Amino acid sequence: MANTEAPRKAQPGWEQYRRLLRRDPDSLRFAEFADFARRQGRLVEAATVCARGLMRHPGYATGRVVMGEIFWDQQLEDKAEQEWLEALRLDPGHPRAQLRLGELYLRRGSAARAAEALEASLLFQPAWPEARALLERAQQQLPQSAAQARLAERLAKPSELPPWLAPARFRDLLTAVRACPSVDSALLADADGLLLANGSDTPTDEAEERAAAAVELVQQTRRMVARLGAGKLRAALLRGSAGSLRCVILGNLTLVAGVRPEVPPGSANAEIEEAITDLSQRGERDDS
Amino acid sequence: MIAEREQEAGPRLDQPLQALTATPGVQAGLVATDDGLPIATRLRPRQDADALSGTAAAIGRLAATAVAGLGKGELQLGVFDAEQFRLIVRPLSVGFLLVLAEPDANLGLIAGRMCSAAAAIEEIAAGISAENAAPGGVL
Repeated sequence: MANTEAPRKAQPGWEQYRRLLRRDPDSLRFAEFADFARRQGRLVEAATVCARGLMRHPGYATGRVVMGEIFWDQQLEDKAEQEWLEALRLDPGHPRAQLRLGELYLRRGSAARAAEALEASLLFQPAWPEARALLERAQQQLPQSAAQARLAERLAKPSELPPWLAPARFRDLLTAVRACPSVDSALLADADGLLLANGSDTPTDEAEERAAAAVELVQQTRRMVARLGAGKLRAALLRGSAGSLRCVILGNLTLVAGVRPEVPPGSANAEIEEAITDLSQRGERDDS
Repeated sequence: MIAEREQEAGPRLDQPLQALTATPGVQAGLVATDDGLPIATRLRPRQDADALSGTAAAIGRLAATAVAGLGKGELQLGVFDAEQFRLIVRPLSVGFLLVLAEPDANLGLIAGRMCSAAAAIEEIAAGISAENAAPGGVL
């Protein structure tokens, strides 16, 4: 992880962060502040802010990731690794921890381990340019046979996805749904509640929490509906006081679309269904 | 045909449920507490009041959490489309109102009737609370 930003004077956000943490010392935004300081090259201040925050929130995985990044910038590679492994213990699959570990393993010459970690990070955010670039580097270092074996292993895994919905189309799906005039956000998550793609304006951490809440609802409802003998759950519509949510079940994935408050849920349903149908038909045509 | 299976605590809630379950496409309706106990039910024979009440509360709570967690405010209505039927849940001050409907039932019509039923149930529940709070009442 190259720190490309030279040290410089405080940005306008610096004082705001300080005030925020003075006002609310328990805020989880200590990690954001520490990351901000790290990017400015103020590593000592970054480490102090992050260490204080982690004393209050030792189980906050993103805080651990940021602490690891500070250690990494301080050339403390082993300590960085410990923090990132701890982040993964707290939050298995944390994409940024996976990315950082991938970069670390790449530096150590463990291309296979690096590729594994980077693929895991891309599972959650398939379009992440930094992870993609690192994965490409790792794959170039892998012996061809090992790379082929890994690919074959992945392809051999049984998939519960609809045939047209290959992982490469996750982003297209979110783009199509997000393009519906009545939709203000879209998320795609797997059966474990892990975010696969974020088509909303919310930060990844928040989107992950949202995806987990929606999938928890879908999974539990799916079990209850099956126990009642109602067959498979296909979709859910939740109307709230500040807008609606449409959850569409696509094999073992859940698509969650946020509907603008002023839009009647019925018209949003029609638009979303049409977007999915169009994409599936296009996908089937392309595949054939 | 819907068989009436009133619970002791909820005979007064039967009227709004009766009107609700008369809606075309509705198979059953019930009011359950937050923790899944049936208050009033109008079910078909062989439908399990306890299982459905538990489902109403569990789904209702999860839906409320998801809606709030995804920034859409307070839950007003949850619709779950399964192969065999539609489950529609609406929060009440006393718990949840649940409707089981045919998969292709008119959702708009049912949602409207649920709104009326919920208003009637709230009024009855408020009346019961007031009676209990009055001198000589339970509370």
